Amino acid sequence: MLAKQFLWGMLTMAHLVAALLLLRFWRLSRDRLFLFFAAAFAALAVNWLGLALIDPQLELRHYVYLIRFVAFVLLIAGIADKNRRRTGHDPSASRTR
Amino acid sequence: MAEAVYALCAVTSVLCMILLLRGYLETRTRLLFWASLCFAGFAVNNVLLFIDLVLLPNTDLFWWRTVPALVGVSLFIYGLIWEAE
Amino acid sequence: MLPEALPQQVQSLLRAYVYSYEHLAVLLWVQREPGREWSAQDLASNLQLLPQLVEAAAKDLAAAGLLVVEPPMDVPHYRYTAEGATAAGVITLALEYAENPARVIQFLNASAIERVRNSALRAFADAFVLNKRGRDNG
Repeated sequence: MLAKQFLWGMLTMAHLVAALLLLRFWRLSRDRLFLFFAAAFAALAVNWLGLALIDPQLELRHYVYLIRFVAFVLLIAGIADKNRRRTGHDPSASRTR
Repeated sequence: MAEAVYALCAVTSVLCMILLLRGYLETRTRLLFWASLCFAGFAVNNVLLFIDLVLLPNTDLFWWRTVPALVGVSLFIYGLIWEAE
Repeated sequence: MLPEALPQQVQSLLRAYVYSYEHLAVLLWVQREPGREWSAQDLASNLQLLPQLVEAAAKDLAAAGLLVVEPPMDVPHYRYTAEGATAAGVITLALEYAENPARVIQFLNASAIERVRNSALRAFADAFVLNKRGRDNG
């Protein structure tokens, strides 16, 4: 059990680090895709943290998977947003190109 | 409902992995290679989660599904730090 | 860092579309006569720049939707086609460049460095563009 919690703890930290690096990329490139990805990785960090902290017996645990769902919806939203912006020619929207 | 969530996560991971791999093959930017491995890890994690919790509820694939996620995100951090400048 | 920064509108226009001096020169040239069509050769001789570089710049601007390519000719001809906020930005850019070319060039150099540094980030973001052909045809 302890080993599992250790692993979940590592996953939490690793996802937080990745989220921060992605946030920095958003700041450098001003491409919203990185903001969506950073948010998704932050949500995944919360997902792992929830798994580590909440007793597996509790019903509440099922809701942790909703956080994972939110994370992947954020990824999809980021990709959709990136592709939607492509069709327009608003300079503030497509600055990375 | 839960099954749909796991399936969606798995499909999204595979999609990201394919897009990043395609990007890597086109541009040879190594960041994309590490990122695609990250999403490959997430894909394994989510597919095994689906198998573990939906198809074979009596088995425990905890290590088989969690270690790939950790390896994946670690490789991604490596790529984000070393290949993005 | 610069004593007086370029207007935000011009900065984002330069960041988005103007990767080199050739891009700038082509854009400023064609916007003066929006109805007219130019081949890369016409542009190069008017601007006294290398035809290959001018052609590459015109292609980029066409892919970005600022120029339209007229296909029925034997050689591709380019016509200025920007509208709305982008067109307004180009007019402001032209005024800024007429007033203080050094400031525009300085900004271009700075963003060129930024662009090289961010090429991995761009490759990452571009990997998620599903329809790459759409991008090339503008």
